[in-house]
Amino acid sequence: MRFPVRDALSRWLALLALVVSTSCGSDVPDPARRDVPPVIAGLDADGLEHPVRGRALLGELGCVACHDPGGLDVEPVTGPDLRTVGTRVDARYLREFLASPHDLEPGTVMPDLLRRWRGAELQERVDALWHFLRSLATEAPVAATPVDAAAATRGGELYRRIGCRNCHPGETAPAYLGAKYTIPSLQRFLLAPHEARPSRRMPDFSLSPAEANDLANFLVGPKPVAAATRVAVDAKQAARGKQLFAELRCARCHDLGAAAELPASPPAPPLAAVDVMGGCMSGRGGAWPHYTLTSFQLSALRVGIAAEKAPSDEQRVRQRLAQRRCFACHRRGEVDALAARQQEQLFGTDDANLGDEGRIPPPLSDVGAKLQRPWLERTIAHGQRERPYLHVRMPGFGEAFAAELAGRLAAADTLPPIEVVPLPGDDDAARKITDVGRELVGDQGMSCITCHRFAGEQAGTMGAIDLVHTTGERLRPEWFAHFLRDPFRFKPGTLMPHFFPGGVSTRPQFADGSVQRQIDAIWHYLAEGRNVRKPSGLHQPAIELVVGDEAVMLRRAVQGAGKRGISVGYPGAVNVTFDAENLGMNQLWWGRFVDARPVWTSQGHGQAQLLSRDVFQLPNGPAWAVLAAPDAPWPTATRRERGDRWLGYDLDEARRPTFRYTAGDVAIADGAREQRDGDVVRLRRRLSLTCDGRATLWLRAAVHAKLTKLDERSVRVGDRLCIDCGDTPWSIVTVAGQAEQELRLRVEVDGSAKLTIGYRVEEGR
Amino acid sequence: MHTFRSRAAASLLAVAGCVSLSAQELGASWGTADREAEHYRIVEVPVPESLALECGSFCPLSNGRLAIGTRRGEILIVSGAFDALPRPEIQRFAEGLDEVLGLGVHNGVFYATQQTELTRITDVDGDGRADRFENLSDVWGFGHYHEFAWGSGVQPDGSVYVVLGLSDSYNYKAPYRGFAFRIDAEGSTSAVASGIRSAGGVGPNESGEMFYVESQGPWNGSCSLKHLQQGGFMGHPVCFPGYDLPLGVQLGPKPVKPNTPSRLVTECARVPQLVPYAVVFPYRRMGQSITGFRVDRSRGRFGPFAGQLFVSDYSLSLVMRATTEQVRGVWQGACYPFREGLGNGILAIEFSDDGYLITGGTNRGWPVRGNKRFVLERLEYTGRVPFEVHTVSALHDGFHVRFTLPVDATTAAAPDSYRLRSFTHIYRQGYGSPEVDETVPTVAAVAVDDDGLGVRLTVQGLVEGHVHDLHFDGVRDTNGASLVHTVAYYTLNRIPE
Repeated sequence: MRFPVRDALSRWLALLALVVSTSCGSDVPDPARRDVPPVIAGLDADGLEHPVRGRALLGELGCVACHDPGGLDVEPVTGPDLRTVGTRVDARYLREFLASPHDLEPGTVMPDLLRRWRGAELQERVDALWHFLRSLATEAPVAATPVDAAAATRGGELYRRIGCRNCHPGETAPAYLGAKYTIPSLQRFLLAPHEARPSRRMPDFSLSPAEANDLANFLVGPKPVAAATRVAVDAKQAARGKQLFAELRCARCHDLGAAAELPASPPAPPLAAVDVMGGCMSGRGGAWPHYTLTSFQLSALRVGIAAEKAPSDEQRVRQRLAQRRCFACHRRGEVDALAARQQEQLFGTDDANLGDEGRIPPPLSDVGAKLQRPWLERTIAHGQRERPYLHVRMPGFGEAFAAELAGRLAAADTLPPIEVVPLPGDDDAARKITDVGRELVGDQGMSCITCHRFAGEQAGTMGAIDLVHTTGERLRPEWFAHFLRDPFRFKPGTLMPHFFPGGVSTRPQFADGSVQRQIDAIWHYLAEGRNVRKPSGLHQPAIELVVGDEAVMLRRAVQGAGKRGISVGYPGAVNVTFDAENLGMNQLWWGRFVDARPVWTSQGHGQAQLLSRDVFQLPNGPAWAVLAAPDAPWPTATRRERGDRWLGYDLDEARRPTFRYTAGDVAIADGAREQRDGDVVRLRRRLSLTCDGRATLWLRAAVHAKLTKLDERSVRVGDRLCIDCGDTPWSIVTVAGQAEQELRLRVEVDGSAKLTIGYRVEEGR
Repeated sequence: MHTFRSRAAASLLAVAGCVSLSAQELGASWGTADREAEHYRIVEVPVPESLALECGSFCPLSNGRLAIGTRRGEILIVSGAFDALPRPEIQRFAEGLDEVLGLGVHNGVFYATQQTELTRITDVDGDGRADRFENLSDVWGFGHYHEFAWGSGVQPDGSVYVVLGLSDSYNYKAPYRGFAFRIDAEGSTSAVASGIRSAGGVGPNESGEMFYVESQGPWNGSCSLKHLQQGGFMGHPVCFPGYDLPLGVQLGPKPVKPNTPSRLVTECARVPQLVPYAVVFPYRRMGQSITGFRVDRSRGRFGPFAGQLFVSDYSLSLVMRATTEQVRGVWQGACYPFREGLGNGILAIEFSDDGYLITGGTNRGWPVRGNKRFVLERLEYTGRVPFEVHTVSALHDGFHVRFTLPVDATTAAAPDSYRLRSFTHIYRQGYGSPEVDETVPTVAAVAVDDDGLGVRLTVQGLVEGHVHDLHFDGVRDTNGASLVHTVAYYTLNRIPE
């Protein structure tokens, strides 16, 4: 028997073996058939008790499907629904998988049932089971479609983003998928994984059909081989397979429904009577389902079976969380599988400012006391996206499990009693309390909005979880009361400062400094929901820089001139930006100057806004060049590549700057001042050039599709801006291959040169 | 002339009373504000609200004046800030700059470090307002608002040190992010060190060696003071592409990339350029985002800590102390709680010649305990010597601890008056670190110094590379009083021979 699929797996296997060996320890594999231990992500978490790991494994490996656990608390796992496997899975793959499941799907929890047979004996059984399983399918196999490369690229990004790798270790997708599934079949699986896998160990990520399609295109790899081959079922073989299916106790894990009318499976000893050094746990092949277990897993199983003491409520919770791989993403108390992981790779964020909280899902410590029961159940059942900056997605595990786990969490997680005084019934009295909360949340109080979103809006750079969006239906007020009193107890890594250190408010001016009244007030305010009155500071007012008799300068990121932009407002309401990176005046506008709010509030992450829609663009980039010919293309080298230097500026008596910079060996002083002519204000720019010896330089004064010569001195740029070139020789140049024309001034420097350029707007045009 | 005159009377800041029970809780306040206030008062220097004062740097001037560089790009000159009842006059010397996070003066000329460049600023016509702005160095790339540049004052040789935070504090998206430069008085720029993450202030320590402040984050388990050793690598490897640039080449070959997760002490053995973090400030117990530091040069006018470092914190609005020493070629030292309850997120800290400690900052953009938007405060010594740990220094078999007042010989000589704990951080790419590898060293013997002002602790179980918490709960002064702050944290990079 050949395993063509197998060779493609070698890289994946090597990688997986590495992951497994570092996380779980390893046994020497059987050289005849490659074996890979089952992988249950997060089961190696620090702080998880070994008996808890063992009982989780008894469920996950299907042990208790055959061996009655007696009084042991073990939650059995149901295998995939095999009635549809012939529809879902490639026929050739299925046959090879039956022969050697661990080889084909490294890390699977499925035991190798046919391990004890070789050669023709193995072949005969594989064929029989294969015909039987295919006989169960009522629908035709799902046909293949070609790989859409763009979708596969998007799918790869999604795979890395939403947390797939947290349970499926390795940088790439499991390599066998392209042999197992066609793209449409895999897409169908991803959209409703519980239909094929009722245990919901693969949870539901609520993918959109487009996302599922992208992921499927990625997961099957660039050259998928799965096909929808119709294979005739041999009835005789299928009947033999049915018998084998019962004999091998397959039906203990894979429910085929009553209609299958399977013969009875042979009995297995109860768990309490199992020889924990023999049989399935011996590591040898034999008349039992074959598992390749690490010594770590074996020891956990043995401890789990032997443990006599009944598990605590907390241990029962941990066991269930471990079985759902929750520890692959969450911490709970001291249980931590994340510390040892490459967190930067596995947990991405849209808001690096939030530190780990912006990256790693919230700890599950005290979650039963934190979340209101309906919210908790909804979250476990259907997933949640309260923290949109987290790249990993919280998937859903179904309503039945949600109800069970929520109950257990509520029992395990209790906090000391704490009083939260309800809002009084009287509206005015209630309003007084929520007003205190509003002040505390706002920028005159504790300024919670500095870091948190509020009703969908963000005051500053940081966008931590929304303060009001779901607070009233999500959080328990008692938890909130405890949390605000000691945030680090609940979130050891939080960036949130303690506002009530030592039980004393850091804002004594509110509610007589009473911690109780302040926290209650904040709670009642936030719990009002998203229609709540907004706190102070959520919207910062504009900080308009007003120009009077003196010029005003702002050196900070400005719209249109970048991070080294310098904005200058001249008296008389004419303004420019000068780009100190590229060395050139690049914008010009009349009217109000700039709003500095984006650069002077929050972390200052924005750029100053020009307070005019009527901005004239002048060419950016080095304004000066030495040209081989008057119509040569303008050089593209940056000023740093050219070695041109930004020198600084001097201010005149009205604080107007003269910028100083170099172009090659020529030093340039470039200043401007307003010039009033009745009601009209022009900008008159004076440039002075000096060098040792002689040089010919070109100044590019405008680039526009429409340059119109007005007279011997003047050019109109577009429809309204007029540039007066004074006495300097100029030309309108058409550059080969360029749609826009350029206005170029030629300057002969003989030791020094001076020129003036005027800018005005032709009104009424 | 733009002059502001505050009409408000000077106000003493009311300090909230704090319960001392929980003083040592993780993240709680120290709970010592009441006792601190007996020795150091916080005085608010009144400034008009309309000034929107957001201090980014300070520079003391002659005649009791103080220059302030602001986040909004001004240089303000304040007179009268150090009067007994301060009613300052404020003059706007320059404006239109970009986040002045470093300010010095040399021969009457200002050297301002702003985001984009180091600028020499002169009042040529002598009218009290700057009119010449000369770019001394803009060699570094600047493409993201969070690429902060912090500058030192002017050093005795006329140079200024500039440390450059990473792009958005995580990445290298522009040339030389994560590098430190020395720029001489004429603008000649040379590389000093690499590996900076999100820097705070930069300046000399007690001995004139240049240090800078680093924040908790990737490759930094907690905030720390780091020695800007020439050619040193400060721990964050994302800046390595800068080694290929013309000025980066000056630092020599690119360091080996450190492993993650690991320990600093382990990686220092692998990466020769990696400089151990000199003084680690345990997260939240000793600040959450330290920003600046200055040496007390007031020769005792600010109390018993003359010559020590005073370190400010943004998030928790407090001031700490630190001392450094060089052991077997490596800088290390201790930090100590000092004074909490300041008004906003402190960015700048400076001493006046009179022995006042000036603090100022901002409260926008990042979480902060103090909630005043625009405030200038000064700490002043009441003249009452606090009973404090003065200095902890390392011995080959323990620590030498000096106190500010003579100790009660009985309690000071009892080993059980002391409690030690050691730990380190995970050195890793991930954000920050829990405290790990904890050990409990024990005090085997105590010898009280002859002058009664110190003790030599013989300690079993010193761990090289660990921070050592030293608790002095049982020590009393000769009046039976306990220490104002009963803890110090010593970063033991090297055990002395």
